[in-house]
Amino acid sequence: MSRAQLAPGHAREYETIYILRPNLEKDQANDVATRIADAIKGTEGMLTEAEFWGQRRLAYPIERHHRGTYVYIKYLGRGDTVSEIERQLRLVDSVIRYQTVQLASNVPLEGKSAEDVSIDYEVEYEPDEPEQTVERELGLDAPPPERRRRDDRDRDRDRGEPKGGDDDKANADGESSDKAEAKTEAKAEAKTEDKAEEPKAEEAKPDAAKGDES
Amino acid sequence: MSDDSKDERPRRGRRRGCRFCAEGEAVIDYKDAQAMRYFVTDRGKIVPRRNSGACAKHQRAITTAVKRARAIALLPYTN
Repeated sequence: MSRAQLAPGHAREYETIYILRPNLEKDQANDVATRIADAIKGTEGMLTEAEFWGQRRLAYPIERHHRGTYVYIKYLGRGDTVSEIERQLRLVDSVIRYQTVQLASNVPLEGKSAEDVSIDYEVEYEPDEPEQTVERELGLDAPPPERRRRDDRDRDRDRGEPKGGDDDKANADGESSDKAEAKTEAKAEAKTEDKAEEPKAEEAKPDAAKGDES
Repeated sequence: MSDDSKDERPRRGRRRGCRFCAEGEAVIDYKDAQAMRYFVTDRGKIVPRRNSGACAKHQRAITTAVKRARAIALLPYTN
């Protein structure tokens, strides 16, 4: 947005979202809140809105966390307000991610009283149980994508193998016209081979279909 | 090859114009994770303009919104 100089008595409007580690103690979360409140006050900014979004599932793991506690704040201030808030957020270990977006520039400060908006942390924290389930989920969720990747790489080989098995069977049938014993033996062998290879082939097929889609 | 066939073929099921330009219908807000899913494929890629039907202005807005949502883990970079 515009880098134009701010008129006196005006400010820019920013919003910041920061993500706290899951399963934080309440006072740790409040510590971050007071740091931000001090930063805003110290730079003549004005907190206008604060929302506690609570625990959410992260779209991708950050510092090995799969869930995070989101907090949203909206405030008026200048560039130094933002740098001070972000500096504070960087200092706190419990903040795993933050992002600031400028919403508007040249907002007149006059007529706006510094109504004290306190960040409401009166949200009941889920006990340690969620993190535990995430770990369990991890154990269940992680293998399939890995396996898929391996299958993708070996897809062609997997496809080839059942075909080879069929050839063996055909050969065995040709030979068996001479010897009945050899026939039954060969067929039994072919069957066991087929059984062993069938699940593999089935695994490869859906993946191949997926590959075509994407 | 012939361009004439293009005119004869009826445009079926395609909405004309940008649905974000039509006022009040949809707003692009990077904070609304559920609504943002609409703008990415199930692979996590940004839906191209030919599919989203957005005008250039709103496609740009979608792009920045998706990138912001990704940065704070509301949307995945890949799926």
